[in-house]
Order: sequence, then structure tokens, then C-alpha cells
Amino acid sequence: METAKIFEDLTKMGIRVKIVENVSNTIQLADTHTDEEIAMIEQYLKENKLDYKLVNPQPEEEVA
Amino acid sequence: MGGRPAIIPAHEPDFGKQLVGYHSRIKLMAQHLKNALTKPITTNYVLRYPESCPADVLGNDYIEKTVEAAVGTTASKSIEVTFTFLNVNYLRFAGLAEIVTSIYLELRQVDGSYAGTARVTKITVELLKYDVEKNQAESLGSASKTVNVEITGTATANQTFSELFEIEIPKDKPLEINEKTLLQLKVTVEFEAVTNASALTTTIAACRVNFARGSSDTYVRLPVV
Repeated sequence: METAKIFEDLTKMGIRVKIVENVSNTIQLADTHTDEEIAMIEQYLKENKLDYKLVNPQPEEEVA
Repeated sequence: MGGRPAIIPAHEPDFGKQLVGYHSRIKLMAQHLKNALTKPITTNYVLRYPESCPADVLGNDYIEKTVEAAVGTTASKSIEVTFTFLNVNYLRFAGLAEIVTSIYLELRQVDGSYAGTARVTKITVELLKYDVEKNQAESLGSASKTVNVEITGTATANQTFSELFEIEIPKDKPLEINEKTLLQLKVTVEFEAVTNASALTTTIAACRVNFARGSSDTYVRLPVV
């Protein structure tokens, strides 16, 4: 139930998540996110001692 | 700075045994044949030797099953496949048999707003000794793992992973195979799909046992004695 819980927790925090998988321990975000949101995700992972990496979190300001 | 080197306890090397052990292992590759063999038993799923052996160009690269979960439910299914080593020579095996399964998991269909999950829950491997005259298989041992490998999301995705299993073939009771006794590998994978209670689209999970072709191989490695 780990990936479903991470997905749910992040969604509740307002993060738009696309995929969470525990084969390569990756969280794929649905679209662009601010540095603040990315810091929130990193804090969540740290607090829950989860070893997941974020795939291509694009900073919002870089989007045209 | 210039201190005395650390004293490392002596370890008696035994290159002879290591060398014999290394060279006496054979790797049997799990494969699918388009046209079934009919002797000594009828089968499409074979273990082939030596590594790396050419695959049947018309044979499948994997066996796949899918499961669909109704809204608000979890549905499960299993894949079961048995590979047979059709060897006509006399061989004896004893010691630690290494079995590697290559599994593919896919979140094939999912709701775009409410996350669904595709999950592999358990993998079991079993080595069997098949008696051609009696048409019976006897278990040599099995190993099982609760793996809980998952993909959760609102978009399709897939992953391939391998799992290692070890089964001890007692040294005082080596496995002997010949034209009347065949070695078999049975692989069983249990997997699930989960659909959120608010979803409008159901979740479909697909799971495959990959055969030996390319980089994702299912195989058995056996110590010859």
C-alpha cells in the first residue's frame, strides 16, 4: 500500500502526482511545480524516511 | 600518516574449489517455442542450453495476463508457466540452484483523476523432476517471495524487475536427469489491480513473465557435480 499512500498524501498536500512506483522508487509529477512545492515533497519524503527520487520536476517559472 | 598497516586476518585461498565451482555451473534459459516439441513430452515452454542460445524467432518473448478491478475494488490473478529442460544427456546437479525471474508490471488502464494501482504481490518458483515413463512430476523444492512491487498513478506506466531465488539440492541426493527424467521450472506470479471508489475508469494491470531473449531473462543456474 506504500505507493498508494504516498500518492494520496501528496495529493492532499496539493501536489499533482502522475505516477508513484517502487521498482525504481520514483515519483513522477503531473506537471510543473514551484520550488516551494518541490521542497514540500522533499520534506515529506524525509519525514517519512522514504527513499524516492523525483522525475523531471520542472520549476514553474521556466514554463513559457 | 605513515602508520603501521592494518593487520588483516589470513584467509586461506582455495582457488581450486572456486574454479571448479565457477566452471561447473550451467545456465538454462527459459524460452517459448512457436511449434511444440512432442518428444519426450509435448511442450512449448523449454529451458535451453547453452547460454546464450538463440530464441525461436516465432516464439513469444513473454507470457502475459491482465486483470481488471471494478470501481472501488481490488482484483487479483496469477500467471503460471512451466519450462522443461529437454536434455538427452546424463547430468547430475547438487548444491545451490539459482533461479532468476524477470517480471514486467504495467498499469495499462487507469482513471485520469483518481489513482489506480497495479501490483505484483508474490512470486513462487519450483524445481520439478518429471518422469517421462510415469508422466509424473516430483517437487525438488520451491521458494516464494512476497514482493509488493507497485505502480500507482493516474497515467499508464510500466516497470521490469528481476528476483533471485535459491533452492538447495541436497549434496547427498543429487538431481540426476537423462532422457527419461526431465528438469522443470515452474514460475507462478500473483498480481493485482486496484480501482479507486470515485473512479470513472477501471484499472487494468498487466503482468508478464519474460522469457530469455534480450536483456530481461528468466533462467536457472545449476551446479553440475
